[in-house]
Amino acid sequence: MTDKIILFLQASGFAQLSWGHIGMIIISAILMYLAIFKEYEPLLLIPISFGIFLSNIPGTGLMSGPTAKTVGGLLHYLYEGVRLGIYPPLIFLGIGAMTDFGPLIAQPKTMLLGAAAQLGIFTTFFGSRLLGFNPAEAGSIAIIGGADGPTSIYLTSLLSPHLLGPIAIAAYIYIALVPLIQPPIIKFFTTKKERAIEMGQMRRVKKIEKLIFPILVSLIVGLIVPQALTLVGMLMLGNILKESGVAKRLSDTASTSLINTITILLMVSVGASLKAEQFFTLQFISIIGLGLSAFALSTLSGLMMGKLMYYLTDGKINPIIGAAGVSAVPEAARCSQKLGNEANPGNFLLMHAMGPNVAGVIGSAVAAGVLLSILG
Amino acid sequence: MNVLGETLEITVIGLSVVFLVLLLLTIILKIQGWLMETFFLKKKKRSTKQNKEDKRIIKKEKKIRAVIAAALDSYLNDYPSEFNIQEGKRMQKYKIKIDDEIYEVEVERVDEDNNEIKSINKSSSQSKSKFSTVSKNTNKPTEKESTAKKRAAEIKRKNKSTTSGVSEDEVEIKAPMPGQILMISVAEGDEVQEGDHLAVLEAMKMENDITAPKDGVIKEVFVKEGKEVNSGDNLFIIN
Repeated sequence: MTDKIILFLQASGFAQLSWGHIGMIIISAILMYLAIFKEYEPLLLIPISFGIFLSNIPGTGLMSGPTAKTVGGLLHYLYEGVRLGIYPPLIFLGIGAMTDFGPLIAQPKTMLLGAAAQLGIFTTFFGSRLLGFNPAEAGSIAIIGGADGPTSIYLTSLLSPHLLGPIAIAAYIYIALVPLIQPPIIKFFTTKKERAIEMGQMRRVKKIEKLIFPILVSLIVGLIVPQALTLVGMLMLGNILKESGVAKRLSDTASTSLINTITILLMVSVGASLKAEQFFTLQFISIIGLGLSAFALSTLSGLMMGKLMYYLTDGKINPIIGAAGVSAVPEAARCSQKLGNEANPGNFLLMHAMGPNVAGVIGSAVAAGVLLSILG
Repeated sequence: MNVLGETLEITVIGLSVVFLVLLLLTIILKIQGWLMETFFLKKKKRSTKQNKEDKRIIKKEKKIRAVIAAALDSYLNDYPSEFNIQEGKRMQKYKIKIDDEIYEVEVERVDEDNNEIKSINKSSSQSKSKFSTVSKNTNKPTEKESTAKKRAAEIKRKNKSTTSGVSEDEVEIKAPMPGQILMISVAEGDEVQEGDHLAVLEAMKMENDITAPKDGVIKEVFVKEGKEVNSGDNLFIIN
């Protein structure tokens, strides 16, 4: 009788509980608190933190693969969607069905702002290499500078899956922190007069142009950087569903139910993949630091390109929309809108900033494709 | 050193590919946009014709206004006693009829000898009744309209500078982007000052304040709360 009790107790969680587990459970509790009571990106943080929480209750086998005796845990199978790079492109499908590329089509030159804002990716790659990360790891860390969650997860899962948890956390932290990180950088490098520039009305984009766009982008990206087509192709599929106007059911599903479902699965598996031994290391701290520098440099390079365009067009382009070239949609565009409006109450840059913003999504996906083809 | 060279290589390749792809797209989109414009040129030509027509009318309007301004100015100079403003008021309103169009002229007395013409507005049929009381007060000047009219032609040539005092005081406030009007904080007839809050426009889950670009009175409100607007739609007219 007592033997059985002891055996049961040994199999229970308490016997296997380590300090690492306790630490991770505390962290998940803090994240849950931030998500629920501070409403800090709750849609992402609740599933992530609960994933961390579940996988750190020891002895459950939720994350373990199949053995001779068992079939393997649920989260292990959900994680396959991350490992094989399935979830991020599906998220892109939903984003495509939500995105209006009209502002970009109306002002094609803002596309270059989206390209310039990818500079931070490569400078951070450099920094990561200097800190001793191997090329594949450095590429994964660098992509945080693209400020695009799904792209970061996609590239990391294919290049260096062991860093997935920390990189996903860092990427989403900085995307959530866009309203705090960008304004000081923008304010420091622009004058109030520049921020006050109004950009006027955009030309109206015809439906046919919006239909050509997804096909055109897929074709060009696919031909030049085949590895980027997984993400860009899905993005454009979602977009053509939306713009066609005749597949409303599909585009509605992609932009609501599908993207929400995938977000839950993706986030809970990313959370579950976070291990205590990854979290409390110097490596994690350096990833957080490198992520921040990647982000700041991307903002800065976009801003500088904006300045260049400001001078080339005789002040017709407001330089702060360059900072929206980091892809975080639509937080970065909102940031430009807020700062522009602050400098001049009659200034509405939101739509103009959406151009570089969505170009940034394409830009970071292309950058990920390049890194994948060189390092993969 | 090896690390450095290799990293630099990747950076250069990566950045140039990103730029190449997006530059290519930019160029194609530019060409596409240009083609669209050429393709829809017919439509555009017609609209430019219309624009010309509009411009002609505006020009004519301006001329008439200049004539009125000049005539009234000289008239008041010649007959300063006609400018009998009530105690405590500095503004005088006149109604002038030219070719069946009625113009309302507001004149402000700056000092003994100087009068400034504040505004000249074509009065619409609605405001006619509104200002009927005013026209009683200004009966005398309107009687002498014809003299003023005669003088106008000769003065017009000399006195072109008076047009500068005439301003069109109407400002249209347009929706800066597509979205939904969440709240409207003013009604027709409200007086507003520059920077006053007029409405909240929600776009991309972001609430944007629409503020008054200048002091004035809300002449017209075109939207209701909860209405979806497109960019360029009229929201208010401030007078």
